[in-house]
Amino acid sequence: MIGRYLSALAFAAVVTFGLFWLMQYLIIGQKMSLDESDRVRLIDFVRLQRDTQTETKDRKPPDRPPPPEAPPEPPKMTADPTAAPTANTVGIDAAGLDAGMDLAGPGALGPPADAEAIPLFRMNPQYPDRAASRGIEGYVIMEFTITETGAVTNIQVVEASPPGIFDRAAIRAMERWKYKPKIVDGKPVPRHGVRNQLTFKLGE
Amino acid sequence: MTELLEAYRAIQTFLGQGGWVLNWILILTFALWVLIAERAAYYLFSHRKVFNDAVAKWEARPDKRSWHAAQYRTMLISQAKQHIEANVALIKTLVAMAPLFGLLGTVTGMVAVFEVMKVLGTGNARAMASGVSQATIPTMAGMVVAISGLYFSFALKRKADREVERLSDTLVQE
Repeated sequence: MIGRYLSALAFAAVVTFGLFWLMQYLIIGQKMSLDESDRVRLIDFVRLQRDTQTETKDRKPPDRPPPPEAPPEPPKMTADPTAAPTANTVGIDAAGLDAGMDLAGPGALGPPADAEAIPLFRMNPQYPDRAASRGIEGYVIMEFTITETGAVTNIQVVEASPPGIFDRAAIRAMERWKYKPKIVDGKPVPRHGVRNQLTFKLGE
Repeated sequence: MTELLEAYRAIQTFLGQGGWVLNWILILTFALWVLIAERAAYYLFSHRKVFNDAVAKWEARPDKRSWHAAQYRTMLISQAKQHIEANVALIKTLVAMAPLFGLLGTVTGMVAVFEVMKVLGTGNARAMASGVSQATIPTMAGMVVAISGLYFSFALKRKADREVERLSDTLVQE
């Protein structure tokens, strides 16, 4: 056993020595290849002698284009400006215009007194997650008051299908809407009992 | 002889370039190869005797069937296994450790480079060179050692496994 280890020591010493010599040879080997490059002659890139003669280039000014010939003279006027026109005059009579216009009074063209309430700003309601996940569609009809400023107040659900699911979302959206206030005698007045329907449909 | 001396001096310079980690790799290499050589010597000179001893002890036993015999056989195999598998795991460990030591050298070498950069700035490449060689040489050394030992570690493991199996096949229970 001990003899085995002793012989192993000797063997291992040799192997280790060999390995490390190999390693340093791996490095030195590169150095040697560098040394060989000394034999290669380096090309001298620096040019010491320069051409002293400068090449001159004779430049001739380009030929001037010949001056354009004098423009032809304008034709002489032959007519006599002082002579009075001799053409005959044509008499035209004004034609009688008689288109039959039958317009009603000016009030007919104005806005109707009780026009539909026009929303100036609509806010899309948020689709309730519960309904969206279950694929429920429906609508909500609401009755509300439009104030003098055009805001929406006093919202009440008149009809909803299916009941209770979209009410909150519909009211919340409706609260943000802005209407054109009703104007009576040049003054905005609140308008009661306006109805609107919000339809909830799942897109695509 | 002079060439050997020259090689010795070359290795000395090499060790000097590689930093202190390289010395540890040298020790590791030596230990690894001591163990490998010991295993080789065991299989060349002692293994036959161990094997035959176990077989002879088993054959000398008249009873080869009882529970006692089975336990005795297990003991014989285990004792032989101690001889057969000695150092094999250690060799594998040392082979695995060699590249890690190399990596350690890399890191310490880089630290040395940064140390130089701290004092002299990045402009002085010549001063950084020693740190760089301290970083790269142990890496290479660790790899060379691992490569040199890898085959033997596997071969020894395989050989040990096979010999244990052969022994247990030879000790026939009736």
